[in-house]
Amino acid sequence: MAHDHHHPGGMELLDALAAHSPLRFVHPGLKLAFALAVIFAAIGAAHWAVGLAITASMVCAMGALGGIPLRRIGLLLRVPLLFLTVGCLVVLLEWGRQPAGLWSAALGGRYLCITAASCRRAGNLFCQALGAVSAMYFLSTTTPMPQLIEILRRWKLPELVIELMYLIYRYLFVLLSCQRRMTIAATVRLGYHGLGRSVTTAGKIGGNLLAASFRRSRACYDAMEARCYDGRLAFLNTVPPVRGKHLLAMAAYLLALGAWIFLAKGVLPG
Amino acid sequence: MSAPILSLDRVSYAYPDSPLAVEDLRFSLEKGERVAVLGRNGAGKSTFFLLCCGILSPQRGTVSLQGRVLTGSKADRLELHRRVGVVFQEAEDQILAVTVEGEVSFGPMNLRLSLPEVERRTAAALEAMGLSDYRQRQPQFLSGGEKKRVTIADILAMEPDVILLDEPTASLDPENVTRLEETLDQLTEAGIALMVSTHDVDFAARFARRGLVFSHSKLLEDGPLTEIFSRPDLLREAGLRKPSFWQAAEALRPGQPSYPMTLEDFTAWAASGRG
Repeated sequence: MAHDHHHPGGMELLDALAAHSPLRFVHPGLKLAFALAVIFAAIGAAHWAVGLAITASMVCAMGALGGIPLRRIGLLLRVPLLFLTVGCLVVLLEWGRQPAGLWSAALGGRYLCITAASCRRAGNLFCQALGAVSAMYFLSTTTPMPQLIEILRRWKLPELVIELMYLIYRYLFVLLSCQRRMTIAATVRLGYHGLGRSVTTAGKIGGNLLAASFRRSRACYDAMEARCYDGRLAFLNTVPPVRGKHLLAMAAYLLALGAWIFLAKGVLPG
Repeated sequence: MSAPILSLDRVSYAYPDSPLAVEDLRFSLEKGERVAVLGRNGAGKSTFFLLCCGILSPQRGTVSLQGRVLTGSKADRLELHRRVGVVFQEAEDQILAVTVEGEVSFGPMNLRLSLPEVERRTAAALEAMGLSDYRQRQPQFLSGGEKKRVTIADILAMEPDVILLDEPTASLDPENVTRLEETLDQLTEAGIALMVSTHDVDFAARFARRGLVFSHSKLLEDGPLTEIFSRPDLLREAGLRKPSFWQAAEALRPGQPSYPMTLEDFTAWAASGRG
């Protein structure tokens, strides 16, 4: 990150955050199992209070333990929030023959309504999905991808899938950087001046990128062969060890979450 | 006298549907020797390197390792890969793994060594390149100079006898060039023979005393760089220029058969009163 004038966004930003997170020293398998447990809890509980508690705690963990400023977490969550909002709008609105509920509007001889039940459903769904997404973001902002792939290898995912994951992940960044240079070179020559020219330039860059990929794949194969590659892609990849305090902290969180689910389902309206 | 560590005898090679890329090459390299390979783009330098490390097999002629003529069998090719390492010009073409540690361990893992031996070689290569703190770093977060050091560590971990470096100074800043030169000195001290292909004649002059000049697929000259730079016809034919210190000294005192090529030589030359 420090060596690039480009400001990363999206996937690159997640990758940069994970690579520099203080939590990258926590065993990735532990974090993966923890995140999966939290996601299942968020979805399984199907209760707004559980979703909100998980979101709040994951945002706190990303901020306080992962060292990510709250503003940046907000920016990261913008896109999933947009998708969730649009998705939940569909659940919020009901289609009826007569006006009903808290609000209704006539549309083509029928009525679009919002009822108390649809509000509850949409609210629960939104919070439940937000909780799951925030747990996923906790995992992706604190765990570098190489560690995750290595854990999946240890969890006996097929070797071919693992090798593909390694190569795709590695060359995604190589091609992104190549594409960025081509885009800058096209921009300074007014290649993106006007819609028509932009489309043509984007197409040409796509074609060039394909040609560059072929050239690079040949060069890469030569380099692999020069290091005695024999069809097996094997690397040394150490991951941080499992530490008792991390295990205890995660277990304590999951117990507290279990208690909160019990309480929320029993006391708070669903 | 022991046999050269690597030698090529009357080697020719042509890519499919193309004229000869290298023709009738004769060359040998001794243990710990340093050689600069010079010539225009497309003169045959890269093909020469690929033949030396076994990526390409000669269509005519032979390649020998310490006097043993290689047959072109898979075992011989692997032996050549193991003993003659190549650092490619573009680090991005070479770096394959998603962490520095994984990248450097790739070669030793392919040699089917035991895990402790892979770990030992990886740690030693990282240490030699000053990359011990970079084990878990990902390539996309490294600078150009750091990537170059990773690619050299890649080859060091194979523990080769010869390392070929294709345009190692391309896209490096002066600080990283100095660091690279220090690294190359360490490799020479360790007894590794080095061949560097470069367009930078000043770097070539600092790096080696022996030079190979390629032009139009042929090895035009194999000899001391001082002789190469004192032959205007050869320089014209190969599209080369003289080193900066040579040009400065020649401008000060024209007509001498040869001139200093490096700062140290130039200072000594000036101090001796010849300048």
